[in-house]
Amino acid sequence: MVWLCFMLTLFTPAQASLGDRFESIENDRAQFHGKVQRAESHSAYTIHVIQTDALTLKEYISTANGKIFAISWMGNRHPDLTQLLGTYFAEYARANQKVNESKSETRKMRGRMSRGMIQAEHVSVEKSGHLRGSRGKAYVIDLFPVGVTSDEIP
Amino acid sequence: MKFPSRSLSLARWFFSTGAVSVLIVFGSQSCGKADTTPDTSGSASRVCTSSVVNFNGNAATHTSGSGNTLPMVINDPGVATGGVGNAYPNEPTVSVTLCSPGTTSNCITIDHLLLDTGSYGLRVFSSAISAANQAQGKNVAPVPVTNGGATLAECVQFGDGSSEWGPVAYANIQMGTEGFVQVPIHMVDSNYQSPPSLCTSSQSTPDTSPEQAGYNGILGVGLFAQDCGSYCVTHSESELYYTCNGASCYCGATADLNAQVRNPVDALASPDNRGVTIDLTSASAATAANPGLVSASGTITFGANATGSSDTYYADGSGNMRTTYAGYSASPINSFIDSGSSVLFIPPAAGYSSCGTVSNQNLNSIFCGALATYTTTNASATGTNGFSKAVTFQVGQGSTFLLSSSDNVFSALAATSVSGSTAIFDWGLPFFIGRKVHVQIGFSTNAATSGYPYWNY
Repeated sequence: MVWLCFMLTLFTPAQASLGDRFESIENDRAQFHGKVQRAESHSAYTIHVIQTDALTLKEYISTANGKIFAISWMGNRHPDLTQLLGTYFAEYARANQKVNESKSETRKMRGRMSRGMIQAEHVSVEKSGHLRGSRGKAYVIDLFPVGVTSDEIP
Repeated sequence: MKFPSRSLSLARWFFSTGAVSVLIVFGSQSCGKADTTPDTSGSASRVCTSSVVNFNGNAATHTSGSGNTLPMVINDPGVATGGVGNAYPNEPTVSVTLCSPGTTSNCITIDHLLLDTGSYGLRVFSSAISAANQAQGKNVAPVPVTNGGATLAECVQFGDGSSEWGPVAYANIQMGTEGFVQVPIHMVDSNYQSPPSLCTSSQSTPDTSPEQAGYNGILGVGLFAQDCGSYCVTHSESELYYTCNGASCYCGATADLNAQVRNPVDALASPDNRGVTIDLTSASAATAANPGLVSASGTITFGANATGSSDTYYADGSGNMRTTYAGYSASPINSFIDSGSSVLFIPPAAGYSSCGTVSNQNLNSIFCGALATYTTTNASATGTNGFSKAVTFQVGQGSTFLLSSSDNVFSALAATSVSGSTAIFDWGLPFFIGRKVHVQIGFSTNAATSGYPYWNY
């Protein structure tokens, strides 16, 4: 038991993700019970792919500073973003709350007319798709390598 | 969060099998490594401190019926549940009969259900059932799916950012004059016990009431028999199904196919269990002089393809076909046909213009400009039959439709979708106007629909 405690402590790094250094990918791999399948290199960034039975998660790491500047996912549902957004989660949650408060102000604008786009102070989150076929992305424009646009994600 | 604690995740990763619940307690308490990820919807941290439960379901049952059609209306405010009129534009709705399990006499009519080819299974606000019971003098009570003292609950997220949360329960339901089918349904209640963060306002827009959502529930008649499928039979970290022990719903759950929310069409007697054909040929497409209709009526026919067209567009395991269109460099892209989307969701491309802000309304995502017809190509998913064919669609005048018109049915209403290489083309309700569209179920336990799902139109 003592050994187990030690192992758990050793292999449980601090909360981290979007905006943090690439070492935090291990946290996300553990959260999703996945494996880091491969890394794809581009000129200004590297993509680490975490693969599970139901979700493909891609994390975009800037070559310049080793920070994760974007995350995308594709799978049977949208993942919990609490850990993936890291320190940006709080502002995302606040922005989401505002959308909730403004919903249904005009009858004509109700219904399923908007994509799930949330623009917070620094982080942008887009969700789309349908049950059993969901995809989305979260990114921080301020952290993008020079010359990279959000359309490249993923 | 999807899993009880990160330390547990690692423990499971290392040991993969064994006394999971013991490890949770040990990891959380003795080592002080409980997950302290805050659930911003409440004050307590979400820690799974009991066992992940597997829910075994009861096999669906059905009786024979006398017909195989169900009427559908766009712009029906709904009255049977005693609620207020709350239709929104391009909202196709139906009514179903909902009964307690095992009975065909203690039943209520639930009207104003969104007819949705982009989801699977019946979801009804618990409050709408209460209201209908009161208005119709009944006491219908769906019976929760349980195992021991634990109840199965579900959190689903839709493509527009909305979500629904609540327990899963058995009910006996009837669509039109089809036979009754007894299947698990989703009881929508945003206040049920402790919703996971995904189904709170910090990560989605929860459906909180019929008035807020614009419907009493959703009838999902899409491409699949269950809303998760085999994955949730073996994976408790699905982030869809949860174990509720009393007020605590902090643990994931595994759910057998019979316990998962079921597309009720899949449970009908053969051959009506093949799928649905949605006929909206009575509604006409927009013209510059007549951009919309006040309302429209359609018909849903249960069974095999009844469109008269043999053009078959296969979907992949995620429920997507492919669409290629001019002006968008990243084609072909994933696409699907979704009556539950009020507009066509199109990745931004040359030639489309945003409405911007009109009369203080934010219409940035809606397309304006002159009414125009575009041609594109829909194709079967990779690795199926290779079929592809050109298709036309209309775009334009969005602000005129939404703000100046008393109409509610618009064939040319479109909005911007996600761009880039993850772009999706969502053929929403406008696609159905003037057409017959067949949705064939796939990957079912029924032999005739065990292959890939597809659309005909």
